[in-house]
Amino acid sequence: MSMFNAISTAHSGLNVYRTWLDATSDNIANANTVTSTDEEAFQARRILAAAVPGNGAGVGGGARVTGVEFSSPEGRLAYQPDHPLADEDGMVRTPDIDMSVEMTSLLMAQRGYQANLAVVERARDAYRAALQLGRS
Amino acid sequence: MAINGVSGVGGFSRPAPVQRPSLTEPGTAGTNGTGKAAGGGFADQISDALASVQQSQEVADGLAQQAATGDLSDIHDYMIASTQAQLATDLTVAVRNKALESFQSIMQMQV
Amino acid sequence: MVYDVTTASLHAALRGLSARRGVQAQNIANVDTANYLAQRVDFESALGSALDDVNRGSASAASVARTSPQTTTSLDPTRLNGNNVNLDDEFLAQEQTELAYSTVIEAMSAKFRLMRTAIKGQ
Repeated sequence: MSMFNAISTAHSGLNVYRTWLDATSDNIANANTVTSTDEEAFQARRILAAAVPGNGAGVGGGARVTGVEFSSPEGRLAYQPDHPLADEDGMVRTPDIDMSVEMTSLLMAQRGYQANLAVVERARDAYRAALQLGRS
Repeated sequence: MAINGVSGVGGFSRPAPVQRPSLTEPGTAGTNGTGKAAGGGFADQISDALASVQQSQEVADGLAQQAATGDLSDIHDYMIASTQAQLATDLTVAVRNKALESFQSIMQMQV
Repeated sequence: MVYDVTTASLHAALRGLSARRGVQAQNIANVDTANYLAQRVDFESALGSALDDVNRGSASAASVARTSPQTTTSLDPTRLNGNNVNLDDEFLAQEQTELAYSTVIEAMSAKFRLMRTAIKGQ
């Protein structure tokens, strides 16, 4: 039903934003994960999303996650000689994660998720109003 | 003295034209005109109205079956069809009741 | 005439949607259960083919009333704990089930209202 199309489009949006939220929370949780210099640094994940083509009526089919982008494996070199993983120069690798960028992503992902939930609610209310048609 | 025929009592269309009594048949002309205009026209109108009520009910039923199997593309299609069927039925019933009322009040007229 | 094909199909839809609602609640309750696979209910295929048979004239309205919902297991990919319940999917599916249920209830009420007008004559 046409109201349900709006709901399934919003559903695809919810999946994209939730994946983004999950990836961002993973990045934040690992923002200080230190590795030794002979390993790769923790790589932050960026979600790539694309629009889904519609069914020909001029309306699109929502969005989907098309892939993940990883940040650089070299990370940043930091001087922490007391760290158990430090090499002979006292250097360790820290992830190339900027906390302010991640917090902004978190906010945007949360807002996007809530916006899609609002779409679902509006579509549902419109459908219920249609069910009242013709009632005296 | 000439007696003018009574114009048709069917409520749906304009009244049938009045039959002028001819000079050679003074007694029957007026009543002939009345019988044809009221009886034939009203009966046809009633059966047309019933056929269209039946059709609107069938359309609403078809859309209801689509709603049951989840194939209905727009809910408002079904709601409008069902409202039309209900209103058509209500109208037919109201007309029938009015006609019955008029018939009964005519039958109760003191002659 | 009172219990015709349309009423039978609406009644079958109500049974199916009610079964679906129960299965969805069970899926949500088991969102963290290890190795639990989401269950799905399908009544539309059986109902659709029964209605096609009736419209072709090869079955009676009673066959529509006899259709029953089928429960199947979802083969969606599982997470690490063997569970494949997607909470967003289940919530939205619940919304759709509720809307479909309201629609079918309204359709059935409208049909009974119509019959009552014809019977009572007002």
